[in-house]
Amino acid sequence: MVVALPPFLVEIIKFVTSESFVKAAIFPGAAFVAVLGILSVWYERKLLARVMLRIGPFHVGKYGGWLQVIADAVKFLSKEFIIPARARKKLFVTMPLTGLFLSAMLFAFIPFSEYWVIFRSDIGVLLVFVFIAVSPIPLILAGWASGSKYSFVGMIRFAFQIFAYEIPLFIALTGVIIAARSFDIVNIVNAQTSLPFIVTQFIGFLVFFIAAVSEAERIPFDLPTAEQELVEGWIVEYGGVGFLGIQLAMYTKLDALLFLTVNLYLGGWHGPAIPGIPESILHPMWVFIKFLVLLTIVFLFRGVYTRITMRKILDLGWRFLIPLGFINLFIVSLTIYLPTLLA
Amino acid sequence: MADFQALIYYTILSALLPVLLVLGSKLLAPKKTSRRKRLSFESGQVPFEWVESSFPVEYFPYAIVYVAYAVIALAVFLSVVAVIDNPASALNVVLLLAVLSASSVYAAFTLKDLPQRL
Repeated sequence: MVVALPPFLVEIIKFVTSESFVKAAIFPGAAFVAVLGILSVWYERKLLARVMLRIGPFHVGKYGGWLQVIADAVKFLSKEFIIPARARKKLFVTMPLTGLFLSAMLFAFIPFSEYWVIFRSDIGVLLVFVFIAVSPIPLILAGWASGSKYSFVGMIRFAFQIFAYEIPLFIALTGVIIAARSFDIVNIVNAQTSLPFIVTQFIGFLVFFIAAVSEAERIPFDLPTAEQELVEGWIVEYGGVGFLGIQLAMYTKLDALLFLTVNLYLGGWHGPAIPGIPESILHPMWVFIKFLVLLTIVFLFRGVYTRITMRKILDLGWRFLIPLGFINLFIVSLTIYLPTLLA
Repeated sequence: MADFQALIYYTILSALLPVLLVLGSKLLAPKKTSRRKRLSFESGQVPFEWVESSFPVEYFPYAIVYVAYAVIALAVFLSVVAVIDNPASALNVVLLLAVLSASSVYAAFTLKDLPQRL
């Protein structure tokens, strides 16, 4: 016996299973971004524990204490969100959540295969850069709005750090655009079918990767939130849901920057074919495997490097990465346009 | 069109995520504020009232350097766009990048001696 569903239910099912909604809500959309943020935190804790000869999360959750992260999130939600007396209330409340929104928006333009991308644009790489450039602003404002001297010092350090590493990031990105002759990230990945850009632009990759780690404020570039000297710096006044929003924003941004690095330099979804696995699964799988390698490297930095001073952070950005970025750009343009020039 | 729809759905869902966090906090978190709780964090010291003091900001010259480099980066980017459309102008861009590479290396050496506290 066939039961006819009510028309409105049929419409809802059609909407939920439509290509647009699946991409936006499940993969590579909201659910994927949320789960990835949570898993990144768990992976970092387990990996660092192994580096330090500890077990890490263990008790909550049967496999490797994976439910510990969920428990922590619930704990943050159930803590009182205290707004300090000297804080600028509206900015203090809204900025961490705006930061989370802007970081999540980065994933709208990052492809996982030619099909698995939320919004493919001819200027995709520029759109991503716009969100990379805009996303620190709410976090800087959050530090300023806290009305604390620790937050203020942390916020100034954060702003100087972002200033120093945004330009190298942009210059390295330009090298990729020259080589692929396109602003579409899918075309950039397809330009690496035979050889990934990490081989032809190794200096550019180094500049981009270091700048990305700094943009995400990871060790050794975490001076703005230095626990020992600035007691969490610009985040110090945040607790409860505000702290959770900032942490999620930072991890989401890190993940997005690493997926972007995979697409720009590591050949994106191009990898050896595995018999029996269709391309629709294999391509995102290769992107994810390459992302995991980069993520492991970034998390290992925390285990093996010390925090470097502000002077060194700024020197690295202004005095080393910018010249290296320009030299990389010069070499790339020379190798690409030399035949034209000789002709 | 499907891509554009997906972007709209994703933007709405991304905007909803922080809202859901706030709603979750409203449901679960206690609300018993007091003057003592709202005092700024003082790292173990006794909180004190508002005072004003001078606060020298170091590394400010780098903020000025940023303005110069931001314009240069934009010029480079526009040149690259021009070359993609018109490969005949490649020589100009290669020359520009050669000059910029040399001058940025020179700047790297001279920035070392830049006084950072004004």
